[in-house]
Amino acid sequence: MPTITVKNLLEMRKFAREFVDTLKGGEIVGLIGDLGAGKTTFVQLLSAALGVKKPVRSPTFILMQIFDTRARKGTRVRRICHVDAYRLKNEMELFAIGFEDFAGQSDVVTLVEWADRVPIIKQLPSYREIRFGFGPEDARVLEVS
Amino acid sequence: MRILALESSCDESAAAFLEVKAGAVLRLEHLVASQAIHSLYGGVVPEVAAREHSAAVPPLLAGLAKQVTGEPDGKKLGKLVDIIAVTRGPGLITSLRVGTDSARALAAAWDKKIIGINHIEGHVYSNWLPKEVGESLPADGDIFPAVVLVVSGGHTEILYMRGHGRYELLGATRDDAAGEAFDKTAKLMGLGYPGGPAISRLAAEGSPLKYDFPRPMIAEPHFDFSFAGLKTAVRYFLRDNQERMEDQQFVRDVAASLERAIVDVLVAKTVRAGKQRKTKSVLLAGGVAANGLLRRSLAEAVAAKLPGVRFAEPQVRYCTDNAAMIAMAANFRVAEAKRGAWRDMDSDPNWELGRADLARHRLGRSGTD
Repeated sequence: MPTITVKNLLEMRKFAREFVDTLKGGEIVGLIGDLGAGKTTFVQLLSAALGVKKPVRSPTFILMQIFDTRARKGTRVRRICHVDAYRLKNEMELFAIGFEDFAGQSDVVTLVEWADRVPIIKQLPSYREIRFGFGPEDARVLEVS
Repeated sequence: MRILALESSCDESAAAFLEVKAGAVLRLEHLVASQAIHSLYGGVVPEVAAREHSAAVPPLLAGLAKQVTGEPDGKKLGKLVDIIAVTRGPGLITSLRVGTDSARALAAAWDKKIIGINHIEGHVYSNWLPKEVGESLPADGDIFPAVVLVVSGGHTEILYMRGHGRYELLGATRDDAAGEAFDKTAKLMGLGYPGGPAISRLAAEGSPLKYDFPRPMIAEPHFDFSFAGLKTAVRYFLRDNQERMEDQQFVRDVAASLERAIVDVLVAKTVRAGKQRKTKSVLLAGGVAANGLLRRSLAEAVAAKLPGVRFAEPQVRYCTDNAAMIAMAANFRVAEAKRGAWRDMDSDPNWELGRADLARHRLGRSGTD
């Protein structure tokens, strides 16, 4: 499992752009890490790299947000589904909020913050994971799988 | 004018019935789904997931009908209602859809005019809800133009309101909302949920200037907010002072300093907006508007720094999501309610007030962006 240290926001942005290049559409990416570890920041940078125009904010209260991306060659990705499981009481609430309507669709990249609270998604095809840890000073240590 | 309103943008569904005549509120009945379900089942509630809005709406409407007409019968309620209002956005798409689909079904069945309302606009109009039935609504001249601070768990923004339905978004949070900042810093401190009230309770006996937490963007000339950095600052502070967490006074002082930092940013930006724009009043709205320190601090700051400007805050019971505020917002948009609009109305989860919102109201649909 590759481990990457990003020393600052600039390096996180670079990582997000490189990660975007690996996406084809249909991926479900679990983001795991403590409060303040950079999960939402990563989604903001990834969204910017995908040309999302609307403001991407923390979905903790709204639970799930859908954004249109800019159409790019070589990828079917047209939308981002940004989910936050922080406030979900149990895994099954994921389905009550309409997760299935978007996650796994071939033109959607789904990002799930606090994915460790909804481990059921790890069984889905095209599941990937990024773990966010704290490094020295402003650095973050990312484990990508 | 008799309005039935449905609000279903996120956690809970709510319904309200509002009657306004000659500029005064004659009747206001409102309830939330959990109340309706409880009374329906006499206390022993079957396992209804909070997010199963579609299961909650029928008892909700029956409960409202009972409150308004004395019977849980839609027909009687339908005869009374003039227009139906429903939250179209922003919010969680599945929740919004249940609300809009239910409202559309009612509008079709009862052949009523229907209008979609913006959830944030609803919060703004919580300031028009009366303390008692019979009260007159406030005069436009006393309010407009207004600077409105809307602050909740999911939203933090400053609006400039020139008149009914005329909004300009001055700024908003770029990451976490203020209510979320309260909840997450409370979590870092090991306090319960919801975090805002937990922090407030402890803060009451703490020293607000003891610890200097960041007040992100407070001095920057724009009206955006950012509370994400506060989380990391609190995390590192608590890590460096772990042993002191056993000391109750330390915990109270941290809570007080945190609350003060968040409130300072909200107040500073709102007052600056009031100075920069021609302002008649400053309004507060949203779930965090229930916070005592915010209410007091903003009132004091307006009195001290914006002479002649009125300050208004919603009653605490109307700060959190409710349908009464949606009905009140609809009261000022009655001309835009259309019969038959139920056919095309859809929800708009990303609907942002103050950005070309006029066109969306008229069409009742999400325009291209």
